[in-house]
Amino acid sequence: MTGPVPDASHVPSLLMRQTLLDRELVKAAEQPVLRLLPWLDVVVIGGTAIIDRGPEIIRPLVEEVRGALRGRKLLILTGAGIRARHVLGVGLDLGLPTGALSALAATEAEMNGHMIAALLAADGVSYIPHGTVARQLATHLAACPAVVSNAYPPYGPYEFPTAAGRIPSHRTDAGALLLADALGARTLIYVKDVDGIHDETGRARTRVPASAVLGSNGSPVDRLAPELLGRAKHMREFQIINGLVRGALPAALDGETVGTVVHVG
Amino acid sequence: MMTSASRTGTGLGSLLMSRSLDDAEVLAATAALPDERVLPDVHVLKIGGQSLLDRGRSAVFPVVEEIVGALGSYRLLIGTGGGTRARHAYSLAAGLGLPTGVLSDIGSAVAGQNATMLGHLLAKHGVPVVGGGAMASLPLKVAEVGAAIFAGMPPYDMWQHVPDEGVIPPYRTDAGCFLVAETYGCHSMIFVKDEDGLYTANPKSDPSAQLIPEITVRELLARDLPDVIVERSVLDLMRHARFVRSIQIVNGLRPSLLTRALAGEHVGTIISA
Repeated sequence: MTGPVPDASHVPSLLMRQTLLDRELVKAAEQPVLRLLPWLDVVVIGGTAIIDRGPEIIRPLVEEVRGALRGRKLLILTGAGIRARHVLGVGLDLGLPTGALSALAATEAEMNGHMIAALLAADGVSYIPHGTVARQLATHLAACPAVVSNAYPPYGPYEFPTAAGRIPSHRTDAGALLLADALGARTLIYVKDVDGIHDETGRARTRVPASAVLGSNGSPVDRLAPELLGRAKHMREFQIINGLVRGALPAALDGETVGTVVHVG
Repeated sequence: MMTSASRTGTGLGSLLMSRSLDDAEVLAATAALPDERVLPDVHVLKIGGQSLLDRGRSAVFPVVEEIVGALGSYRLLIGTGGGTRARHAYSLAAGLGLPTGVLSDIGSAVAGQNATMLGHLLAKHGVPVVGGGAMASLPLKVAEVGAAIFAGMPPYDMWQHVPDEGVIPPYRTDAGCFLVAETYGCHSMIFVKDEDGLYTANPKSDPSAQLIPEITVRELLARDLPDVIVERSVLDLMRHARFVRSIQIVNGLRPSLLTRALAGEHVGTIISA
């Protein structure tokens, strides 16, 4: 350093004067992380898997959600589906960057959320946007048994450059996992259209380590979700269930294993 | 049903409709498409929080002067860092056991204060502060006055990745500014800090630290330095960047280095992917 430059004025703290990049110092600030909402159940309703299948599939699943509201606090997150794939296709053809595609696809998950919330409105359920989820979720869940939001994370133009291709990597499954972990939720359930992750004989496995899902093709959850599970502070597992099978969602909410539990490891 | 997407030679439209979005063929098809730079002649500057703005007038005014001097010649997007108040709040929040998502939100607020302050200084030159999601008006502002200011923190909020250790958000203002440059296909990414560049250790605490004028991301990761001048997450993001394949770190406390970096000169440390 040259010249008589005055020192930065500091607010005293353990991290004062530091780059936040020194590993030892950052470690010293570590404390056990609180679960903000330890009673929260997070349910992700797949876009392609469930919502795109239309009323015959959506109505009975919504009835199951309605029946499960008593005594629970649910954060219902919706996936994007076929319209997101269409807008990705158009955007890619136009040469738009991944960060532009991310926001376009997220809009579709939001629209699906509005529809699911409207079906549950009479039970006190509303759609709430990202900012409200981040800051006023506790108030909303004190007033009503469930809220619906968009499972896509609010990455938009800040989506990461991807290792391969140009499709945004933070989609609904990853978004739900990041949010459930930040809130310290009790459970995370992905409602898909398959019984879970299948073994060689075509039967759904009951428990699978996240590391085994990472390397496998044909996982019903986005690749990033099991990867993020390995680093999560609270979430030790999530369950993938078949939303086409009646009774699966209420049973999973009761803590039963009815699909595949993907766990840390 | 499909429009333009199905007409591409890759058949991407039908792949997108039928395959997993993690499917290798889908990814390969998307990688092969040409891309468009959204703001190709814009330079993104990141003005450090602790390194510059917290120092007040003596450090900030010369940088503002250089920015004003560059307005006629360069189009700028100016992102701000957090700094010592962010560190205080992170330290307090981490001590309370709050999760990374809450810290991410706090970091945004401090970077926002710094953007507001810089905005007041540049107001007489017509340079506005733009909020999150300001893409709609950003091109107009950059075209009209040549620059706009934004808070550098990415808007990840409760969806921020968690670090391997502790709760400090791994993607902070360096990453946020880098991602703006990358997404909009900008011409360059210059980090304006209070050191001549990257050193082998933190030069503020280790007098034997040596300046590294040029290094690749791969070499830098391999050296596994205990402390680096840009967020490690930027190095990770750079590995897959399509547009911003190198960044430069310059010393904003030394006159004219920022201006020379805008002209493409190597005046600090250049890290390339």
